[in-house]
Parts: sequence; C-alpha cells; structure tokens
Amino acid sequence: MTIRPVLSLAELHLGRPCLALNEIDEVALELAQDLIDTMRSSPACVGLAAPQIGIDLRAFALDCSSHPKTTTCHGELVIFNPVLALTGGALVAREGCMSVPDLTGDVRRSETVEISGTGVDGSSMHFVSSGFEARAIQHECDHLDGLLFLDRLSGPEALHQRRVYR
Amino acid sequence: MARYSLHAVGTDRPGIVAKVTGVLAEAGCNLEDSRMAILSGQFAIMLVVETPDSMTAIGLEESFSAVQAEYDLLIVLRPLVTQEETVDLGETLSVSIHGGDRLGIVAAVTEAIASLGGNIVDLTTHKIPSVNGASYVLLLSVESGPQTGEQRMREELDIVARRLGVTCVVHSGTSDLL
Repeated sequence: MTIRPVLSLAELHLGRPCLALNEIDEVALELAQDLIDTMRSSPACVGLAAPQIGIDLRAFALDCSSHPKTTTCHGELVIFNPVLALTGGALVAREGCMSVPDLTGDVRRSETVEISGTGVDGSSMHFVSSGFEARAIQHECDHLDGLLFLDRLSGPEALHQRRVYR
Repeated sequence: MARYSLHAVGTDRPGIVAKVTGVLAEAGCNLEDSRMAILSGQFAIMLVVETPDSMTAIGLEESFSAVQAEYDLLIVLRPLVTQEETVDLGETLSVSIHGGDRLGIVAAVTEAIASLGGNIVDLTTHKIPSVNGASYVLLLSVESGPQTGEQRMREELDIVARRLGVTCVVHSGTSDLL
C-alpha cells in the first residue's frame, strides 16, 4: 500500500493537460493502486486524479458508493484515458478539492455524463452516470486537463472559504 | 512580520484597486485575503496584509497619504491577532429570504439566527423598486452553530418569515470533497 502526498494548488502543474497512457502496463497498475490507496486514506474523498499525486497521466480513481448524495453508482473504479461527454441538465453544487484546501466553490456541472476509457484490466469501459457521481467524474476529468473547480466558478461570489476546526 | 486588516472606502472610480494594492506592493506587504464591493457607486475593500518587519503601522498609514488624497478614500488599518481556538461551527447553511420590502427584515432574520447561536459569514441584500411596491431579497450564508441543525434553523426562520410576510428557503451549503 502506498499513500502518496496529495499536491496542493501551489505544486500542481496547472493548465497543462496530462498525457495519455499508451498501454496498461505495470507502471499504470501501480499508479491505479496508489490512486486508490491515497483516495482511501481520506475518508471524505470520493475521487483522486493522477496529477494530484504528481503523475501527469490521464487516470483517476473514483468511488462514490458510500456518499449520501450518490444516486447512480459504479463502485470503485480507476479509469485510464477517459473521454467525457456532457449529456444533459445542469446543476450547481458546492465542491471542495484535496488540492485546494480551505476553499470551496459553487460549480455548475452537467447532470448526466457518458464516459468511456480503459479499465485496469485493459478492457474498454463505457457507461452513463448522473447526479453526484457524474459531478465527481467531471471534477476528476478537469484535473487531467489542468483545470480546478476554481476555473469553473461563475465569479468571485461563488468562492467560499472552508471554515475549519482548529 | 505583522498582519493587518486594511479597509478602504470611497466613491468608486477606475483605478482604486490598482492604486491601493500598488502602495502595498511598493511597501513590501504581502496581500493575503481580500474582498471588495460596490453599492450605489460606493466602493469598499477589505484586505488582509502581512507587513515586513521594518514596516510600522504608522509607516503603512503614511504610505497611503497620496492615494487617500487623490481618490478621497477613508482608510482604516487594524492589527490582526491570529486566533487558534477550537470552535464547533455546526452546519453551513444557505438562506434566501424574498418578498415585499418592509422595515426590519434583516434585523428580524439575523436576530433569529443569532438567538440560535448561528454565525452569519456572508450577507447580501437587494431592494428592487417597482411601481407596485418594492421587492426585497436577502441572501445569507450561515454557520448554524453546534446546537442547531438545518431543520431547527429552518423552523425558526419560517416563523420569522411568516410574521414578515416573506418567503424563506434554507438549504445545506455543505461542500463535497471530490
């Protein structure tokens, strides 16, 4: 088990899209396990993208199964080279990010998405998601394009300071 | 290093923010958090700044004298003391109140929130004039406090809203870590 440090805003290579993986080799599988282990180390976290642990490759881990807002759920996943299509609706909800401590933001996202990519076994994946899981998928895909929820806000008024227990 | 909250208020004109932050940069102050607003042509900004060791509060105030005169600004500087205390903030709630304008809406709503131990962290109001009578919108972000949940806050504000003849909606503003 390897829990990798999650990079903060100041450390991320922002604005730089990640590279696609050419094959699902041992390096890719190790990345998948590190993403899962690191995501699991923060109980509230439902997704983690490779650039957040310093790997600029197109991969993310996701598991919304225990989140109370989840409706559609595909369980624990790692998706390589995801291709996302926004398929309908728009909802605004408040998001936080492991890489953006202390801030949250109200982000408008598509209510439903269609995603395809490659799974850890090298097979093609394709599924439709909606609601909270769809939001999480869009959030993670943004990381792969060098974007954060901060880049999706309608304006300064949509940014909030996360008040923490000290 | 010392930290201050700096408040600048005046009639809005292009260039105020550039001038104020330019003075801070020139003085070697690090700008941390900030928030500005314009209401009815009046500009206000609050900035949290960290000053270099060599800078005194009086020195910082004096460095604003030219900008203050040029833009007719009221500038207030207050030292900040870092507070590290354990506080249970309760739930984050978004509250919207709207309806016909009448005297005392904000006072009644905020009094109800305070009586439940809630803390208001953001507030915006708008009066919308109309030939049929003005409308009023009040939006709040509230930390409910440790003893009050979303339901309790909603019940209490519903009572106030009914008394005022306005509509009140309370919903969770809690964020999800993605």
